[in-house]
Amino acid sequence: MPNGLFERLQDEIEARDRREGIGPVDVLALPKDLRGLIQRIMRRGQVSAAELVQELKSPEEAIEALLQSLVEKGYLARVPETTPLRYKVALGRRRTRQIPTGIWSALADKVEEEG
Amino acid sequence: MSKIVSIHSFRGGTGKSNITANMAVTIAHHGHRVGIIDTDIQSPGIHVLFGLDEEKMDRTLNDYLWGKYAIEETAYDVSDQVGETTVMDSRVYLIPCSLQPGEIAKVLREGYDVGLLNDGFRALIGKLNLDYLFIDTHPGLNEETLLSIAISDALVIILRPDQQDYQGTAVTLDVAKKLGVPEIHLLVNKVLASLDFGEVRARVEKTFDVPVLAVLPLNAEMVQLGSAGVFCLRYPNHPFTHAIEEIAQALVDRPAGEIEL
Repeated sequence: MPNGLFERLQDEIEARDRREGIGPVDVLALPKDLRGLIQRIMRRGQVSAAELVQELKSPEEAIEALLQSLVEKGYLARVPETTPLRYKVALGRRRTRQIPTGIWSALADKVEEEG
Repeated sequence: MSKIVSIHSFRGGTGKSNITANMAVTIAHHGHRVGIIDTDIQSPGIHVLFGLDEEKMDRTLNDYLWGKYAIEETAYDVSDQVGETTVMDSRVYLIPCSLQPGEIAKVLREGYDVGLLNDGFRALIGKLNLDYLFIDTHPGLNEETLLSIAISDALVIILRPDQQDYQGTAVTLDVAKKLGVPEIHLLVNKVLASLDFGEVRARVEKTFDVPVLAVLPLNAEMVQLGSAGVFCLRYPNHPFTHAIEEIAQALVDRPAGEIEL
């Protein structure tokens, strides 16, 4: 990992509030280094600490601490029943839209009709 | 390594679904296993090109998102409809979205688990042993298009020679670069035959500093076909089909790569 990147990542993570998952829009708003890391994991689907150690050329303790911070902040989730433990980006729920209720009533009958 | 290719345009009507279908079929004809997933939940349509009857589509992406089916169970093998393949084991699978108004309304009203959609892309590749997964997206920037851009190995942005498209493409490119897409291409479609295609290509490449895969003419036969089928199958010797062949080859020639942090 390039000089200072790990520290910057830790600082960026510490500065963020805990949240219940993130969305693609939120990823765009992240600072560059954190965005790059989340992007890397999102693009891979899942990663293990060992894989990140190899790719980022960083000590295992540092990567483990980084992943733990990201889990605590709600950006990553542990993938259950994986050995070694794997992590994935905790993508949240697609936000719904506020649209006129008249539209829902117009479609409600259709939904009931379709069961 | 499998390759995820997102086909996107900032504006509607650029020919995205038609080009997606034609590219996917052409790549399959070269001996690959190809999946096409329609993530345009609000206005699905690519299934029409493959002759899928909405009344008979009893399993869709929507059903996967609601937990009714595994994603591979919502994949329709449309290989028989795309003609003979040059190499055995090449297939084309289509994962459609529902066209039922109630289903569309349900997504808009209740939302869905974006993580599930992301997991679904990878599950499709694994379960169907895909070489390529094409993601047909809704125009503009929204959760689905941002997700597909974020996880894609390649992004093809389609635009017309139109000022609205130029502005929108600039926005999309900015987002794509921020999201670290490894491979980005532009494709200029519906260009009047009276224009100098070389000039159009040069201008677009200079404006956006991104390679242009192809400049495709406004195609009367395509308009006449009206999405009633996959164009390259109906017109195998048409210049449009030859251009699609070159585009497909360009995508195949570049394997999926890794991003840098």
